[in-house]
Amino acid sequence: MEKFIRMNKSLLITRPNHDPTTNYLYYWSKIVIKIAKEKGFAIMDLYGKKANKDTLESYIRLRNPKFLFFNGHGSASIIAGYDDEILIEDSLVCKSLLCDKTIYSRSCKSAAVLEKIMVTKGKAAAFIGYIKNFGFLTRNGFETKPLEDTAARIVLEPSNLIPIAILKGNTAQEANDRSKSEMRKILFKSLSSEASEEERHSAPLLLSNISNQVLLGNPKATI
Amino acid sequence: MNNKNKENRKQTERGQEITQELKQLVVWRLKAIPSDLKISIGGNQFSQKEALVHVKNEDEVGNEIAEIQIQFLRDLTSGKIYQNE
Amino acid sequence: MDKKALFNRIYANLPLASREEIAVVVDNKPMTWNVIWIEVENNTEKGKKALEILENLGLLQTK
Repeated sequence: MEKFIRMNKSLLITRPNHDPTTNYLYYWSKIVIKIAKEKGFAIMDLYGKKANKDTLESYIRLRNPKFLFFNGHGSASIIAGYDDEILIEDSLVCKSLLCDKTIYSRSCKSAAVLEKIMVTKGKAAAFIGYIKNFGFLTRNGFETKPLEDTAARIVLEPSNLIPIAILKGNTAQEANDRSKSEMRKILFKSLSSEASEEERHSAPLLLSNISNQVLLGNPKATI
Repeated sequence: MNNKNKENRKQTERGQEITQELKQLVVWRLKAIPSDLKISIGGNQFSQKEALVHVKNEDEVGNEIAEIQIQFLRDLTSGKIYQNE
Repeated sequence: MDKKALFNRIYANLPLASREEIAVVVDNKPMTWNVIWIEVENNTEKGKKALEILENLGLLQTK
């Protein structure tokens, strides 16, 4: 019983790093992994080239992670992995690999169409994602040290709150709300007279991300 | 809406019409962004100069950047930005 | 409500830092909210043009 519970307390995360944008997400997701480890989660870290379809399907089938955290590029109907290989699309959803899972997709537009499919056809418990492109600022000179990039932090730190809140046992709704609440707080700060340059210029992207971040499925879903 | 506004309009994916007035505004707002900041959007990263080219070309990326800017300004002026949802 | 009154209402509700940002381009010259306010207050031609462009952009509105 204990082994079963431990196996279910697991996080599967995809972290491709084949271009500057995914590289940023690769590094910023490390913070989430660290917290997952502290909480005793088994981590299925599909980093770099491991973020491919075969590996993903294999891990989901064999280890049945309850929480899936996707980083990478996307569109209305796909979530991509390393080198933009399609990881999730309609056909995968139909294989019932997503049943009962809580999913956060930090990729562009996947909430526009795919989210609905994942929840209705795929029977995912809950899905948090973005209906339009997810955006953030970065600063030159931090390509090899994205975690020190204060411009990127403005957006990526509050977006990390979604998986962190879920790992801490919060519901999907609570995770969504917590992230949006933090983004709003940062947005208001970015509009203040003491905002930094990068805060002021991040404001339009923050607002866009807040407006486009959606939750579908069971708001009370937990892992 | 006057005739001048009807010139050179394009409909973007987000449903926003890109007029010359909007394009000029976004170009100038982008010029005010420090050159060492980059915009990561739609899976790509753009320097200030690259973003300007996209906006001037009125391509998909440029139009998206324009839409994000104008939506921000509209939410600001309408007061919607102060609402909690 | 006339455009000037509407502008004043909007301007008053703008965050201080935002007032220093570019809001319109008139005759190829950018104008921040503060600059527009000065022109509008003094009923100049530039001010009138700025208001017209703000209206065209959907920025002269309240919720």
